[in-house]
Amino acid sequence: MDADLEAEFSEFVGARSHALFRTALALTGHRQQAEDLLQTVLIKGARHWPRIRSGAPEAYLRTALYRQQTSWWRSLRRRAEVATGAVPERAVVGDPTETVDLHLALRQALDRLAPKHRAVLVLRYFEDRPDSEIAEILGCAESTVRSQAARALARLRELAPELTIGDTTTQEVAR
Amino acid sequence: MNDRVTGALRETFEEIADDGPPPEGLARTALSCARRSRRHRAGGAVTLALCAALAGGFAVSGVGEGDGDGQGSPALGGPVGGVVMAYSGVRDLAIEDGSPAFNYSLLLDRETGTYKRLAYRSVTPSPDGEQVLVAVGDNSGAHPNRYGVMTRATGEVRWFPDIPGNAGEGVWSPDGRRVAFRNPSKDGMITAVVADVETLRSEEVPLPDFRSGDVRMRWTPDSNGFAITLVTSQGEGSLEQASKVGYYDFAGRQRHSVPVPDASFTAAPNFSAAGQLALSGPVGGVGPLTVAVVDPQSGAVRSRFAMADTGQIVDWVGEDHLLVRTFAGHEQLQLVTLDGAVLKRFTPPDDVFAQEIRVGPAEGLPASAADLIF
Repeated sequence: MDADLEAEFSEFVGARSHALFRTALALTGHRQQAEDLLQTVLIKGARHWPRIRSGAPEAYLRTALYRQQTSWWRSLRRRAEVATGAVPERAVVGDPTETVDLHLALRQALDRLAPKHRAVLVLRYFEDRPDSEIAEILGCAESTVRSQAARALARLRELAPELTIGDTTTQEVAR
Repeated sequence: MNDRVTGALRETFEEIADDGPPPEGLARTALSCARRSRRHRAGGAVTLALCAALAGGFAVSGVGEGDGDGQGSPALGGPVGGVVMAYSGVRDLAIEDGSPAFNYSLLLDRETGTYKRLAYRSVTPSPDGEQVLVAVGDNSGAHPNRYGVMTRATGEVRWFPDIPGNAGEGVWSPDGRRVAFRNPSKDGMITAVVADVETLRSEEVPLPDFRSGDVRMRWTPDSNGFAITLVTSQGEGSLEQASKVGYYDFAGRQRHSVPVPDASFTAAPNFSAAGQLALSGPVGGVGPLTVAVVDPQSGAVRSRFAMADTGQIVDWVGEDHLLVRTFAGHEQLQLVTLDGAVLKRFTPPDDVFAQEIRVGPAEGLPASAADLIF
């Protein structure tokens, strides 16, 4: 890669790294792991920059973030993490700190989800992607996206019973 | 999925994502790693040679030399007596996944004048240089974060038993007796964990003004509290705005505050050993680095200058100079006066991009290390 292309890549990273880093944070939940994930993906981006620069480089890198995070070795590694820790305590209905408690319980529960389950939720509720795009990004069928989302939400409810308070909807995968 | 849960998920992801800007130098590291990968494929001899050098300690020939574009070398006289004590959190370019060996650190051996590779992702020498705060792990279940204090003379590490795994990097108190860690506590608030280096016991200190985000904290020069830049952000796409630097005691009470010269001064405050205060910003590479030396009590600006590129203050070098780190396609370290005159420019060793650079006095180094001194 010549100096002009390297400068172009640096300019792109300077402009878009904040947005990509936010996605990495949502995916990992930890700043340090997010830095590692984004750096790993940017290395791939630098290697393929001459090819991807004329298309949609941010979309390429965003997809790479998700696929890197959900790749098999990361899944194995993170599973060791999700198996530990206690189920958060249930919030008291009407407690003025309920929202704070709910968010905290959600954070802890999200940390214990399998990477692919978390990725589906990030794509749906953080990036507001339709299932068709989620399927494309994760490299699976739309039906798989729906089943993964349902499992992820069910697992969240197990881990954070606060979520079920006031939940009268039975359609698990609808938004 | 009802609206309440959907809303809670959206808000929680937003909170998680709002943890401050990405680290500086991402592009440089990515490009270095990509180049290195090509060299790997071309034969690997260069890689092997560098790895061998790193494993056994090496003299860093790149430090102290010009930057290769004709702008390097001293302009206003000889060295002022500083040296890079450590390159902390160096990305190992030979490792492309997130294994435990992902990051290492280089620590200056004062006897030999060479940098030794240490398998710690972070190293921070104490103010007197006799001890080193070290960290391992990546906050995962398999590799939880651990923090300890290494005695320089023996290499022995005493580990803190109860620093939370998600605590931030530690900061030495100026008197060298304690280390403070930024800590996202269990109730969702940001606190500081202050650990005693002698007993290794720690206690949580409230910081009630801070609920989330990247709290930029330093010890006050008297070692009796913290100085923190108060920063607000309206979310992605809007620039962070600094309002003031608050001085807090160990009860979390704001003892005093000083205004920042303008809202772009979002970085952590930097105190010299004698208590001078340098403020800077913006953080995150969103504009050229601006530095102001201000009165630590009133905030009155004593001097102010701007660099041409994005960057950050590394540290004070004595009482009359600052070392700044700039990023403009490639990383550069620049020794500047308090009026912004550049005395020296140099680059870190090839393929060494550190998350943090630690500076110390150059006294006592052997003659062979003359090139390291700025």
